[in-house]
Amino acid sequence: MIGSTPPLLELRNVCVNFDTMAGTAQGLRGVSLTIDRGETLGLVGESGSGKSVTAQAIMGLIEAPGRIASGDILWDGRSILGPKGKALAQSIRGKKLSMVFQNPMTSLNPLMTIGAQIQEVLTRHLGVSRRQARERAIELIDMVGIGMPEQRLDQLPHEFSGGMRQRVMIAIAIACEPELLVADEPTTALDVTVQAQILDLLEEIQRRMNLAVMLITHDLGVVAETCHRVAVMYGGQIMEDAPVQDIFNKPCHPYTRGLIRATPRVDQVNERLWSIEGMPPNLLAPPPGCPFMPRCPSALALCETRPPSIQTGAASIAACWNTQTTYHSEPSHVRTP
Amino acid sequence: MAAISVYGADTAPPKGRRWELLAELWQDKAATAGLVAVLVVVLASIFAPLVAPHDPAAQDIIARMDPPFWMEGGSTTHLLGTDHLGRDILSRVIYGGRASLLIAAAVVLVAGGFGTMLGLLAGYRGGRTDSVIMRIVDAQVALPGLLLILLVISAVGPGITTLIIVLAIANWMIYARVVRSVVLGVREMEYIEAAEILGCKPGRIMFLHILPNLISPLMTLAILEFTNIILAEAALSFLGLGVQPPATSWGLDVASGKNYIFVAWWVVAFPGLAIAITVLSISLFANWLRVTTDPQEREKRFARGQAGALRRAAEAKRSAA
Amino acid sequence: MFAPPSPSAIAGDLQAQERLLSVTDLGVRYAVPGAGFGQPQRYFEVLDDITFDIARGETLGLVGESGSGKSTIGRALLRRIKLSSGRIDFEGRDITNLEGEEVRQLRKRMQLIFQDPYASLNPRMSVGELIAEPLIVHGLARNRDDARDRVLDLLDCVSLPRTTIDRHLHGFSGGQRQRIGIARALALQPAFIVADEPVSALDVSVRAQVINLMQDLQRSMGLSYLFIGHDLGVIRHISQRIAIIHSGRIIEIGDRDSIYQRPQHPYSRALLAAIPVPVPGGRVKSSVAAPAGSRVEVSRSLPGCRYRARCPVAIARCSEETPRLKQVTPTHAVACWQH
Repeated sequence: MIGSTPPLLELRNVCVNFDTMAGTAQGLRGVSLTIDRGETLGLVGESGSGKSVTAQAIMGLIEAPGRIASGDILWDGRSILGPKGKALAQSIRGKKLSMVFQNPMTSLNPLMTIGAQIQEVLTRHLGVSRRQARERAIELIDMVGIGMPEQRLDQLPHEFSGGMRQRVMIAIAIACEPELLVADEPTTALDVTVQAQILDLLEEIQRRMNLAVMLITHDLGVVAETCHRVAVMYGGQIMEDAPVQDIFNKPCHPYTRGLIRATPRVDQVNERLWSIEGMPPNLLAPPPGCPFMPRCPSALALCETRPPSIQTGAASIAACWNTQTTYHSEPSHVRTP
Repeated sequence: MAAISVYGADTAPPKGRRWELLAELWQDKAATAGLVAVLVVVLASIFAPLVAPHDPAAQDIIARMDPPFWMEGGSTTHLLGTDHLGRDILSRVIYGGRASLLIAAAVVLVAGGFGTMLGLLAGYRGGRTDSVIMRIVDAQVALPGLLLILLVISAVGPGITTLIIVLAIANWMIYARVVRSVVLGVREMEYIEAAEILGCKPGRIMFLHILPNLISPLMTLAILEFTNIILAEAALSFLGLGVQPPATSWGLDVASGKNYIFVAWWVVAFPGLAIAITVLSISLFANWLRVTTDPQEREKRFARGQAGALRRAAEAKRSAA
Repeated sequence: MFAPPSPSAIAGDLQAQERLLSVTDLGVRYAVPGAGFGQPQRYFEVLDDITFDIARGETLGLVGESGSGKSTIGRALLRRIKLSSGRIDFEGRDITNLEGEEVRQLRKRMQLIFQDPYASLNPRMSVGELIAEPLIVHGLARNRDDARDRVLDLLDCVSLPRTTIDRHLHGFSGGQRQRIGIARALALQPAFIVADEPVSALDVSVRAQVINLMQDLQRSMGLSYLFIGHDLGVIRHISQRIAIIHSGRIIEIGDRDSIYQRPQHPYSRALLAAIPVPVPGGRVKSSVAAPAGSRVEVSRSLPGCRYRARCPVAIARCSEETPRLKQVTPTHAVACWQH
């Protein structure tokens, strides 16, 4: 890739450890990822898979007892970790790099009006005047689809429904015109009809602002609908990283395939659900090889050693020794239009 | 902040938990010192006849107000000196602990037990039970405690048992109030509803499911109250309504020695010091115990320790460079 | 005693003998605080005219969004909250007015599985103590050994290793905890279980295990479930019949396939259209018609359909009269004036 422009954000072999009383829990075990400008990357995984830890690492939110043990995070080709990256990290976080959290109920200050909370971000990061900030806040509120922005600006968070509050959170996140938006389970706390609206909104904003979005979720349906590319995480590692069509139509990793098959669907009925037997790995003592091996239906003896990232397509990678066989047998649901 | 969960039901429970606990206690030097001091005080009180060098009531007119041994005029016969009647201070402190500790512990137990029961009932039952109990509490809080105590003792006559009962009657309300407020929160927890739906009767829910959640706040409260009771006992003994001579208590000695504070400070200082050390040691140890019995708090303490170690390591690295 | 005349000529023609539970015109309302002195007390209608049946061995899925009252129905059936109207018949007996010890005895026949497997188990108890608790409080175990044997059987039943009996919950995953919750509910050998979003808190791979377990147990023990949920995929998988609830009213009820293939109520259609399907490009965008920017809710004290403000096909009658469930096929009923 020499000579081409660096990706907007790149994670290189990032390891995050948490020191607990029972020992050191390995939250991330060598995660490498890239996000390009204007791209929506879905980060899928179950609880404990490391998807939220990845977001925290990017946002600089890893706090004791957690620590980034090794690896590097690059913004536009320059490191934002450690003492050397500190200045750059401070200049981008909150501005070019912003975040939307899962729970819109607790992320807003209940005693401040919505307008004041948006304006605060604007005056602090962009140094604009109060009048300019208010005008921009009205613009933002309107942009995230909240009607009567001038009146709504002077209301307190409790006067908004859950979906509306998440819209406000998005407005705050995009206030400084970021280049990358990290959204950690932004619709998990919402009802399905509201979820659909928020996802549509995110997609519209992403297109309009040419924003890169990192969407963290456990819901494969949400991923299929909104993402260009998907990284599937398990046991602190990336299992598969591929364009969304490939993930769903020809998943290469046995875990990805298991995940897709285990999801009950509205559009079809099976007598018995496919289930992945066993349990997620113990982060204190993860298996030395592939973390999914103990639960994997197509494990080999070779899987005792850590699988390399294997190129499975033009832009697809799977961390599995057995991708060739899984690739050809049992294709998952392929929907013919 | 980090959402890390440790999976795997097959992780074995740690071996030798008792030793591990002791090692953990050793990490906290203040708590270790507290435990040791409490043990020393309690053992000395129990075995007072064996430990004390003199009879605490024996008067020695010749050796009145002798200073401690390290001061001019002091002697090793009376290590901590003597009081205005020539009684050995060290022995009095050792014997005095018996009454003080017994009274304070008994009052905390009786008042705590009674208050906790009523608080549990009020908080869990709610409705009319709650209103009736809490109005009784309000009424008694409004009544001056000291007045009540004086009335009862002057009617019944002083004595250790009377003292314990009277102090318990004057002090149970705070337990009821604290317990009730905690129960109101715990009652909303889902596992309480789960127990109700399984068909548990109210007694089982209150004592098996709710009571364990009260241990931590009750422990904190009991320690604060323990101090109060020692001081209250001192005040009553000073008024002649508490421990009767020739028996003694720390409070009584502080009170009776206060007239001589400018001539012989040690008469007041040593029993006073005994009270202070006991109370301080109990709270140091109890604070550690409270954190240790709560897995979440315990994990937080560990994290703080780790963060401190990391910070120190980074600083050391910086200063070395 | 005989069951009352079938409320469910509506949707699902159940024979009287196989009917386990029937709910007729159930209503729950809360008094709104702050009514002035001398003013009439105002009420918030949590549930309104709820009517349905559940047959032996059947699963009725109950779907709704937050605040729709779906959990309240479950708690009402378990006699945890006061009804303002209606009646509940269970196993041929009117249980609407049972009290005290009678309700406690009812627990043996009717149990609940909770949503949150972390909050609903007392963290201070061991696995064995948790599962033995229902046996002990109902005096069903002869002695300690008997209780232990039965706990071991129950562990087998929910596929947890027997060695977990003396363990504490610390370190158990959500899926394992939910199995313990299920074992507790099963210990009393109930005929009917209210499952209040039992898999919503679980990860995908574990969720499938728990759903399969619940289905296996249903088959082997002849259980009936009221399966409350918001995930329409899970509901479709586990239910034979489905009721959709909106603002405290059942607006559509019917057998699974007709609900999913031919949803009749505009709300049901919007709900189904909003579900993200794990197929890239699967959902048709912007099919959910809700005016952005306002919180649309029709006051529950007004007559008429409570969905009318969001409804694309509302007519004048929708705000004048409340539509009641009306059969569209023998196994499908809908509450909408368009039908």
